[in-house]
Amino acid sequence: MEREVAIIGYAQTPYEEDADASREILVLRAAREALASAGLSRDDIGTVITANNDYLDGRTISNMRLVEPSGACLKDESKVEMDGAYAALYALMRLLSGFHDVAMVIGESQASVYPTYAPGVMTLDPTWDRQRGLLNEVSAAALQARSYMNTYGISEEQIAAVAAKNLGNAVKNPLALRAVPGATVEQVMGSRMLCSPIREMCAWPATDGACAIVLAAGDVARKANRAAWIRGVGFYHDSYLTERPLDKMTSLKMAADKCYAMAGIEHPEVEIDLAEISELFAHEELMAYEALGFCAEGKGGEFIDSGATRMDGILPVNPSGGVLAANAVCAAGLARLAEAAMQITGEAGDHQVKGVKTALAHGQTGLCAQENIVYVLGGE
Amino acid sequence: MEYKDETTSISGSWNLGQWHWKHETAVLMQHFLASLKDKKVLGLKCPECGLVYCPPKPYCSCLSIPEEWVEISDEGVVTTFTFSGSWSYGGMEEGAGTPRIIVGVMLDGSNTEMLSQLEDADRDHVDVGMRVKVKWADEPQGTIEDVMHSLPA
Repeated sequence: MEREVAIIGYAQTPYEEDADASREILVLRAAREALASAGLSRDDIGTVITANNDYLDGRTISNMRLVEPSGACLKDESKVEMDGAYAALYALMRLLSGFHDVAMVIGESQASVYPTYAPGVMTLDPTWDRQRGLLNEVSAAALQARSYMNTYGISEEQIAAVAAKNLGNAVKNPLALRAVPGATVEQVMGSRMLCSPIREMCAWPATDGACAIVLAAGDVARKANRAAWIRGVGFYHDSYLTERPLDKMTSLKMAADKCYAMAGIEHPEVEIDLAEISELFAHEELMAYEALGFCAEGKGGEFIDSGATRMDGILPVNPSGGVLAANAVCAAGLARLAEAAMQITGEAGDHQVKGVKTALAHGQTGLCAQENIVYVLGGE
Repeated sequence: MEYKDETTSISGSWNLGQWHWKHETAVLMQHFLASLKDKKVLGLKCPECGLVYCPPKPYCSCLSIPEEWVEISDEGVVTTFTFSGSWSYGGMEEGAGTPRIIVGVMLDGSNTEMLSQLEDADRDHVDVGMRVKVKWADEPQGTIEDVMHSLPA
């Protein structure tokens, strides 16, 4: 990239089942804390990008209410109705334009105000699938999981192992909503079946929360308290879920390849020290291992079995607990970016992994991970 | 939150059925649905990449315009499936009724999947690769309902 951009500040609210605050206050808290961590004031912000979604909030143009609490009042600002990782992309582009030096990026949602898995229904084709009533977020993910398991011989236990790992990791993340000390595969397999093969512990929990990051370019970044540099980014959007193979994540693979080319990464399984992945459902983490090139196609199950992605493995994935531990929709991918940055700067606290120099963050939007975005971050 | 119960409610309802979607799909869908009355399933073929869309779609990801109607089979192969609770709009509460078998079906001659509810099937025998067929009513009405259900072939 012509201009180097870094994450120089971040904050996440504690993730809760039913926050005792409005969405505006959650955003305000995240924005103030992220600015403080960057050592900047509102005057220093050049541009602000927020991520949320009308259909989650139950009112139109909902994001206009976030202008003030995000610090954007009478400033250059814009919004995305996608995951916050795309808001970060938008902010990154605005910094690369050279018109701004500092960007605030915020994502939020409050699942406590809507039926947990209902919003996905609103994204279905209204003339066909929505009227047929067969799909919501969980049944769609179940079809994806079954397709993947069938093609590559993945077992339910291997999928459960992802949930056991992540929910166990979450114990060391004080912000996580769902943490299960010593979580086991048996425990996950014993949790309630929602839509086979998806069990309750393999599906994202309804979450209230917000995440904010501060991006900076050029001299501001070089003089910052801390910096996790964006070395590469890639993103692709695939077709609708009934018009593409569900047994692989083609758009994620293409996004990763593009990101790796930009970051100069040739052997991701060796060069990447840690990854924060948006696994809305446990099986998606296995599919992501393959798409991200951490293991060969179809070998996601063997890769989790090998222990490689445990906190003490060769390539820890989701030491924060990932999205299975907390999924504030529209903040989830942005939180992966914040967590990856925290690992680079050594500020991840109890879930810090030692010696992280290169970290990957992944965000997704749409049923069955229709679109995917990948970042690679680096230290000095 | 203690004060949640005090939220003011405005009586009335939000009729989600009052949307009238206006786009090309409506014209194509009329033709598609009309043919169902004759127990015929139609697909729309892209002139460039050859993909056959069922249900029909007025645009292709290759940026061409599918416009050739082709008759496809009312039989196909299960590509994926799930056993779900019985709910339709939204929440995961397992509502009234029996749990359903939802299958993704690639009808012979189509390149896209049609989801349907599989009936009269033993769960132990439901699998990817299984052959299924549309469960037709004696007199199909020319609606989406006509191809909602399938049976083992």
